[in-house]
Amino acid sequence: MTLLSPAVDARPEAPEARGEVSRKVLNRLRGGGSGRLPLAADIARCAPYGEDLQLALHLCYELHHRGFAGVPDNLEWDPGLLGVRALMEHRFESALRHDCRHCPEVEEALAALLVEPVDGTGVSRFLMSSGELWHLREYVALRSVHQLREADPQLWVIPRLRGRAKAAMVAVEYDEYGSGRAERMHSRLYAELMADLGLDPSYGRHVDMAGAEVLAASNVMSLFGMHRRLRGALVGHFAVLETTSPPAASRIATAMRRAGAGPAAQRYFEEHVEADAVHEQLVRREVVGGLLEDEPDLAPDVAFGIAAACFLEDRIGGRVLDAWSRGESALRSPLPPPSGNEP
Amino acid sequence: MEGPAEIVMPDGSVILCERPVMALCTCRRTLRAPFCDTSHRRRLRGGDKQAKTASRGASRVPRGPAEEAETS
Repeated sequence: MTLLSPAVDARPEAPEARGEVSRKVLNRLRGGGSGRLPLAADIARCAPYGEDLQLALHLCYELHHRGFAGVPDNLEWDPGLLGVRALMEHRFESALRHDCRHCPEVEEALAALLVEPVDGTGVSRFLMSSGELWHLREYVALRSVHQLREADPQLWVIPRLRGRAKAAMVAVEYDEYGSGRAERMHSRLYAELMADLGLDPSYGRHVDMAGAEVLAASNVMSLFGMHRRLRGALVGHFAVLETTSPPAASRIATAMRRAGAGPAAQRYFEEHVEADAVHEQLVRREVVGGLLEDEPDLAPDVAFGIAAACFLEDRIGGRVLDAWSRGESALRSPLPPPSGNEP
Repeated sequence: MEGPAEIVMPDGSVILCERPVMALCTCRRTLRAPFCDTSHRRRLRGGDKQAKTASRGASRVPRGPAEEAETS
């Protein structure tokens, strides 16, 4: 078992601002609740999937997860920040609803996820066919924005579910959290995988390097998780994660073996092939099936969650593969060189 | 099926699965026997899929993502 240094669990440093809105949110955090908040007009000027708005949303959501070093915990419920967050969420959700307005119905959308395109293109296929170690390190660094808190945003939905859906959601989450064993928690396995690749596994360390697409894919989970009215969307989104994960994890495990990554790197993706094959069945039949039996009116929201997950994941893949196809880094700033096998 | 369980393999070896719920392979296509690795999934050429999707009209949302989501 790899022992991770205490820094891994420390609160992260706040990331750098990416524009006017995120700068004002950061000033508010650093000022302990004083400092001018962004105005509605500032937020209205932001691109809904852009760097500034997505980072500002990340800052607001992170207060509900781990918080930031030097930022008082009580800012989690600062009415000013909550008001700003609501404006940003409205902008983000409206854009998503517009871009997903033609989404297929739940059954059709889930059936499509179960088909493996033979000649598909995607990040995991790129990694399997031609991924070098530096591609794998970049991929793992980008994904760490969410994976180091894996399963946390989904946990918020549990009090809002009932019966079969609730029981199955708890069963999947229990597995994500290592079935009662801290050393098997998926977020812990991810930290070990990062250490294996010579990446700093500290929570939040790679946020500054991650583009808006990665932040949006992570923010949407908090958006869906923190609003009871969006419980259907959260369940749909989660079904996409669990359904598309096994084949992708299998390809990445192959890429890790070929690139000579360490045992923890392989273990993480191999674990996900097996675990998510189970989770897919539970989520599709029990969580989605149970929720729609209990609350059939939520079907359009479940379909929206599925479409939103696909839409945002495709945006990540687009940016990453676009950069890699030009031989360039997919990160906003370069990774430090590998630090050896110890964090 | 519900776990944890010990699974006796054809060669007599025993595999312990500690998951509270597990998925055993019944199609024999898995590379991770005795567990399911989703190898049973239907495989489709991209052209066929696009043809099917196109029949539904202009949609910016793919049927299945070209990109897979994060592991979870």
